[in-house]
Order: sequence, then C-alpha cells, then structure tokens
Amino acid sequence: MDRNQSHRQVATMKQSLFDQGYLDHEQFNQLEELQDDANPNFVEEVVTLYYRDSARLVHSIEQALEKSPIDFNKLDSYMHQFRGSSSSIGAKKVKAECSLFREYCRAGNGEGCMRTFQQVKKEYAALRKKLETFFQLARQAGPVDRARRPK
Amino acid sequence: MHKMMLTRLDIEVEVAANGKAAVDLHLAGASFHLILMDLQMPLMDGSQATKELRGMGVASPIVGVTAACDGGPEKTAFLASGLTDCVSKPLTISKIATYLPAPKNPYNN
Repeated sequence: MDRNQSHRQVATMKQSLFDQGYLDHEQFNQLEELQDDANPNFVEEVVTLYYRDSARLVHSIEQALEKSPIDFNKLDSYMHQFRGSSSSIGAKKVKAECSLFREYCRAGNGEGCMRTFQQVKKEYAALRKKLETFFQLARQAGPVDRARRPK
Repeated sequence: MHKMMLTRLDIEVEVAANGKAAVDLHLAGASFHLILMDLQMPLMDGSQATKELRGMGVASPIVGVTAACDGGPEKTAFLASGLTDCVSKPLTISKIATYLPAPKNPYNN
C-alpha cells in the first residue's frame, strides 16, 4: 500500500470515529495540532495516559458501587473526574454515559448508577479498541508531510 | 493530561493535587505566570484556593478550568472568588492561548 493510500485510510477511519460519535472532532483536532515531526505520537501518548489514569477511577467507582449504603457524593466526585478526563481526549460517547450516570447519582438511584456504569465501561472499552486500531494504522502510515518539500 | 499538553509547548508546569497544595506552593515562595484552577478538588476546592491566593496578594492570572464554567450560578460564584477568567472543560490550548507567553503561543504568528 503506498503512503498516500495509507494516509487516506487513516483519515477515513478518523472521520468515521467522528461520524459515529465516538470522538468529538474539535477536541481531537486540538490534540492533533500539538502533534508534529518532533512529537509524532503525541495524541497516542495522551490517550495512553488517559487510559492509564482513568483505570484507577474506574476501579474506585466499582468499589464505591459495591458498598452499602452507597456514598453518592463520593461516586459523583469520581465520575466528575472521569467525565472531565474523558472530555479532554474527546471521548464523546463515554462522556455522555458519564453525564447520565451523574444524573442517577444525584437522584440517589443506585440501580440506575450500576446499570449506566456498565454502559460507561462498554463505551470506554469500545473506544479503546477503535483507537488502538487507529493508532496502529497511523504509525504504519508514518507522519503526514505538513510542509511542501522542494523536489 | 493538561500538563502533557502544556509541556508539549515547552511550558514548565507544576501540578498541585488540590487547592491546599496550590496555596502551600505559594506560601513556600513559588510564583507562576499562570495558574489553571480546577473547581472540584479534595481538601480545598478551587474557589477557596483562589480566595486564599488573592488574600495572600498573588496577582498571577488565575484561570478556572471546569465544566461549571459553562455558565450559571456556579460560574458566577467561581469568578467572584477572584478568577481572572473561567474556561470550560475540556481544556484546549486555544482557550488559554491569550495567557501563554508569546513565543510559546502556537496561535501567535
């Protein structure tokens, strides 16, 4: 596969992630603007950091949901952080489920929280898989020629 | 993650885990060109930390970064604590570009 074709594939996959609502294009583009030849994997590094940091929060939320009675304030606080981090990488569906979770939290609805958290985890995992594929494609395609090089 | 974005622009970043840590840094004599202040934090929240910093005479720009900055009473209260500005999460460089020193501002031509 030639380079142009590889880059087109990357662009197509990225667009489909936007179109399917997995990623917020504005936020993701802002991260991509910080990527260049000197930092060719910047976006992947940020996303890796997100999944590493948020794993801790996911675990804390799981533990908090197992307690009886549920401390909804604590849960809300964890989810606020998780929602914030998710929005930083443009994780649109994850963020939406987090917002729904917080509504159940504020209503003191434990069952609603547990149900929604399953959805949060599902979207979180789905996005991770999609992004892993995307970054693999992007690395294979190599950096985009941003500047015109004289022949 | 905010640190990663700013470090990418060659900006030196110090992260405080909560409002109290931010205040303690200043009590120890540190000063910063720009302070990004989250609202919801353990031990001491962003509003309280901002009030304390202003009370100590800290004149650096303090920009609130929080979902609460979307508007409404929470934003008003946060601004009233002494913020220079309030931007909504998620943080992007373009939202705080005006506070970055010119050579490091990617939007500065």
